[in-house]
Amino acid sequence: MSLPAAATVELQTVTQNFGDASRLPILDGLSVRAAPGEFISLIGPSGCGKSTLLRLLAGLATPTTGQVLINNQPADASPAERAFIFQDATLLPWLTVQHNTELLLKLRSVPSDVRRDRAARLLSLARIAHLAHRYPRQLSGGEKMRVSLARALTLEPSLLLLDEPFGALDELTRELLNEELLALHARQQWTAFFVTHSVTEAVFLSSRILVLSSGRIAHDVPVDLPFPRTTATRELPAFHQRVAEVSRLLRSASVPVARSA
Amino acid sequence: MNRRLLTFALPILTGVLLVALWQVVRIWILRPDQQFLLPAPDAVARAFVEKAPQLWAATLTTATGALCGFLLATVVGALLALILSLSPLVRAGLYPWLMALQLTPIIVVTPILILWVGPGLKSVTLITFLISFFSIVVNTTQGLVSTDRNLLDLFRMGRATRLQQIRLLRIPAALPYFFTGLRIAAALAPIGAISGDMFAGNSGDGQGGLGFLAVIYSAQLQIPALFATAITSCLLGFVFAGAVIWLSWLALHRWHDAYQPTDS
Repeated sequence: MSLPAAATVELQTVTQNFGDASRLPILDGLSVRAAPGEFISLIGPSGCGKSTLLRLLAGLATPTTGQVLINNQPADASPAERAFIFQDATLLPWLTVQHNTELLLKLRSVPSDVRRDRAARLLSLARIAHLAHRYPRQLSGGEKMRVSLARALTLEPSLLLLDEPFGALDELTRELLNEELLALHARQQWTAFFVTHSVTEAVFLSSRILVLSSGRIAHDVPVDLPFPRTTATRELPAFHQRVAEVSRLLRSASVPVARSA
Repeated sequence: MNRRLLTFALPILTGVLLVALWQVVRIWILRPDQQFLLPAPDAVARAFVEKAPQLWAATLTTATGALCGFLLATVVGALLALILSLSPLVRAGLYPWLMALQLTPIIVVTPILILWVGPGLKSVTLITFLISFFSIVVNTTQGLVSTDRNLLDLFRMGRATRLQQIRLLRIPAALPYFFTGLRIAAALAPIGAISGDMFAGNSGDGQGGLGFLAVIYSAQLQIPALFATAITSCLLGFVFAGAVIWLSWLALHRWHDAYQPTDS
């Protein structure tokens, strides 16, 4: 399949208020630009605006002031295909893995033979082709997340938005899925925004990490470890050094929030 | 394996014990002049054989009324639930009146219905409908409005239309609730039909139902036959409940957690 080019994302002094303006804004004059194919992780204390940022990029909300541009068009009007992956795998329990994977295409009224083929291809990319006829209750947490990932990728997105997708998985499964997510990224080259609480995960996956605090970017950290990253990457001293650095930045970013809370 | 055999054998054993207890009560507890109140099991069995043609015909009549009323309740109940699920305002406007309908004793409504549509199958169907549709409406509505928020988000982000959301998400998610309502309705439908034909069963155009038969046998003090009628009614209830349990198994067992095979 010919994949669409990865999206360019630009936030221009975006502010987002909820309810009355007297309260602190969720996002406070935030500006950032993501080049096509960048893998950006968002970390920060709870309530720092990570999920709000994803919702804006998904076009599910519009900013109070400022602009969210995807390929130079406002996010809520952009035709750029975006896929969202939730912490919960959000599979329909009454559909088989195959039909769950076809769901988003079905919502777009894609013909059934195209749906079937594309879902089957992505299920084998996600290494779960053998589970196609199972129901979600027969799957492990990691398998469910693979289905969720495969389903998102059927849309051939140019921008992938992931909200703590591996947060509920055990450490080993999480590491494995991190590696496979990177392998898929290398193949398909979407732009990714990945929300996580795990510094290790953020360092492993990202080309860049944004540490958010009180609705602003406290630190914009490039991760210069070479791709492709594999299990061996986790052993590198440089990897541990980055994790330590980012952890330190995250701690320093968390302090003012804790004080104002 | 042994356990399965046991779950099959135990109810039968309990049944045998109950029949024995029945005999004990009859022979040792009741005075001879009271014994006619509780006929012997074999007398009931004989009544079954003797009255078989009447019982069978009455069962068919009652089953027809119960089935018509039940099907009507299923269709109307499900459609009404769909309408109720569309908006909280619709629910606010209609719910109290549905409640009022449910809380009016059916026995009082029956004469009105007979006046309107006359005795026979039509009024028995309506009585059955009235007694059984409420549980379908309430449960199905509950199911339609309590769809998982995460799944609704998924549909919203997938730019699903309202119709897609209802058809592909809300309705399948409501199925377990619908079947809960259906199971209650299936238990009530034969009761509705039987009490219906106690009042409206003999339309003059054919055979009366089980309720009608019970009225006749009690007037004639044919007590073994009355017991046989009661047992037949009970069996009819089992057939209804069993059919719905089977249907809900068919619809849900592949994916619903309630049917998860146990590992032990």
